[in-house]
Amino acid sequence: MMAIRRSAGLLFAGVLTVALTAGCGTNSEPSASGGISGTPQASASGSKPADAKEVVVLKYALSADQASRQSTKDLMALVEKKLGNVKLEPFVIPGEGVEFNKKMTISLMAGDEMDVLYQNATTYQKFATANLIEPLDELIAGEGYDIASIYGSSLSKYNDKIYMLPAFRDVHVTMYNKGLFDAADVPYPDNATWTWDKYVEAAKEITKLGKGVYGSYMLDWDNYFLLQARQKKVPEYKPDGTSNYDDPAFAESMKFYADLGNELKVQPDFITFKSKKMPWDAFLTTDNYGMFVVGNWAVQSAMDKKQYPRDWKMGVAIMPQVDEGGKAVMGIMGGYSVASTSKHKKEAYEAVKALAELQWTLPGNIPARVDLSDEEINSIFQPMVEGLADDGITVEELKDAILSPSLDIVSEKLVGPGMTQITSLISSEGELYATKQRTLEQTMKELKEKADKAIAEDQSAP
Amino acid sequence: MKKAALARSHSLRRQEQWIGYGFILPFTIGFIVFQLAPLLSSVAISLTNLSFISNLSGVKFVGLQNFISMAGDEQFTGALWRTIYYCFLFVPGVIAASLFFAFLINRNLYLRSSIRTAIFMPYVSNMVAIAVVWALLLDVNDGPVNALLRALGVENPPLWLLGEKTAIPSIVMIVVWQNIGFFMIVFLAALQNVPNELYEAAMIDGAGGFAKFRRITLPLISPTTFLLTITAIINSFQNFGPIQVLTKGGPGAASTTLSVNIYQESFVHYRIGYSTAQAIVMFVMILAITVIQWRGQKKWVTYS
Repeated sequence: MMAIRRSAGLLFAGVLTVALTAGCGTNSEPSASGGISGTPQASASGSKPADAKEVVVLKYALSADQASRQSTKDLMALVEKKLGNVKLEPFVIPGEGVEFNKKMTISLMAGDEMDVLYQNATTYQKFATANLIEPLDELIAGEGYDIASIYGSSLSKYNDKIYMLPAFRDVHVTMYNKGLFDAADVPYPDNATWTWDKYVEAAKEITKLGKGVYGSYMLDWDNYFLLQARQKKVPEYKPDGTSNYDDPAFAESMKFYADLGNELKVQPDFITFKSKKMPWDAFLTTDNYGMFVVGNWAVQSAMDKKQYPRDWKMGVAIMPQVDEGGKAVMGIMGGYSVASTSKHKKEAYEAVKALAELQWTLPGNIPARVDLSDEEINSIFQPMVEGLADDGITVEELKDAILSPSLDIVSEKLVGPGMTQITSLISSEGELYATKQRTLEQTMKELKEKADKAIAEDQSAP
Repeated sequence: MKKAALARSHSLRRQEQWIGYGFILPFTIGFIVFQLAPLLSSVAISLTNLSFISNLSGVKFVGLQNFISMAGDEQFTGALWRTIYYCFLFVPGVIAASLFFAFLINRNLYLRSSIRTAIFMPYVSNMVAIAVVWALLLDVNDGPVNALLRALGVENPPLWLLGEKTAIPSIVMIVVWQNIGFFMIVFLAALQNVPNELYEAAMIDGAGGFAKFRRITLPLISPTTFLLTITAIINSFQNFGPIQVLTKGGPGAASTTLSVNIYQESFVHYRIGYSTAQAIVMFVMILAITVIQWRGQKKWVTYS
């Protein structure tokens, strides 16, 4: 009996071991990608050093949607053509936006081999902290790549190291409905003199509550709560590392945003916005809003007349300024990094460089490069002007609002310790104030205390 | 002869044992791989400082630090209290409402089957669709509910899902409405199993409606009430879905319950070790409540 039990136990354990290990093993089949090709048969990733004659297959992390877009295919083809010995292969990760980043993180942590990653100014720092992307300084210095003259102020460093080469920028602009401006007999925004005071005045004139027409439209994203403070470059951290939300500039910004809906009634109040779950694109889908301050990506969306058919004309101007003549616009850079799991870091760096240098040549991309000629800049906006031909928007107008060298780009997102938590705190605490459930003083006190706690927690994290 | 029979008997028993092991093997493997192993790995993770966005090489064993940190974490304690508040509103709400409707349906009611279907319908409806319908109904400015309240003279009608104090009661109201169907059907089955003779005997003894309900119905459906109470409590802790769809834990943190907080700690703040420790606490709480109820049932549950 004992022998039977022992045998059964051994068998049971054996089956379990096989079952448990079956799904956990490393796939020993040669990978069809991620390695060196150009020889009769592509070899397994990293099994053979690359030389100039061989084509290196690099894994480019993309969402399924991005991978299927023609613009992505065109960009990959441009890079392959420029480098000659590199082939970019989509490494498809499910999900979009935040979900995509989470899954990419898990994949990198699990050691999945990738070479080239898309990043932006808020995501790359997290990846850098976790050593999931490579610092590029040595490679840059090694070939004497003149990044300062190519990218200028678009370039950012983290812990004094360069982890991302910027490829494109997105800056806030004022999109406006020319028909509503004309009906209210209000002059269009002038890029040279456009301010928040003028924005409010214009919004008051345009607003016709009885007709459901508002002069302004804004969203509930965190950056709207602190618009002016960020434009004024008020630091969000004190020198001692704690948060700076007790600076009156932040309270003023929050009040300004809430007042637009609650007091001035020039845009839907926050309760209406939340209660009706108003969409981001209400400005484009209706004829009811005079102005919409938003990233220039929305201008590109407006070019899609199938999704956003309009019988009114739109204009684009610089983001309103705190002081007349100012040029501070909120923005964010997008770019590319080399994954720490890459087995072809040099080739991946070359691909990152090519992506950053060339992406602007495809329609709809606003370059992060600062070394382009006037002719090249005009060529960027020409397709946009053609796409918005019915609106009568000129290249000069777009250039002044989006890509003028005089623009002073301030980060639209908080970057620093505890930034994820603080970003959601700004929205959640701001929401209670904007719905009149908290006083301004209470809101700023709560925001300061909770932000300090978030910073401390983040700094004590591994 | 006797030896041979004994050997055959042993062989048969061995065969039966093998067959027995064969039968339980698929379940055992499934249980170990999909339940026991994740549970044990969760316990292990809860004792580390694992972050969603960090290299595994940097993970440190922190002992009970995550559990100790919870005591001083206002976000966690706030979420815990809100979970308890949610539970206290949801469990009696859904039990009382479903029992009431089960009673109603159990009688000779006009359009009984249509009403029964109508009550059951939300249970099989998609939560997102339900959220859209309720968002329209509870629209603070233009919704029919607040329009009615204003017509009745209420000057400042509630903010419902947008109110710091009304968010959880509003969510509970919607979730109770959605779950009544399932709970009602189970109660209905229990009510229909109560023998009619008992009511007839009670009637002869002169018992009124309430006395019959208290002395006959309630005791005889108590096993069902017990089962549904446990189910409701477990449901009330697993409230992530409706809250995420309806309020995302807001406004502020007004509807951030434990399950929402665990999600935010994991996937917004990336603190996997800490969030797993919170999940363990939630698991232990549900287990403790269930055990207490199981032991306490002897006092109030009547098995015929």
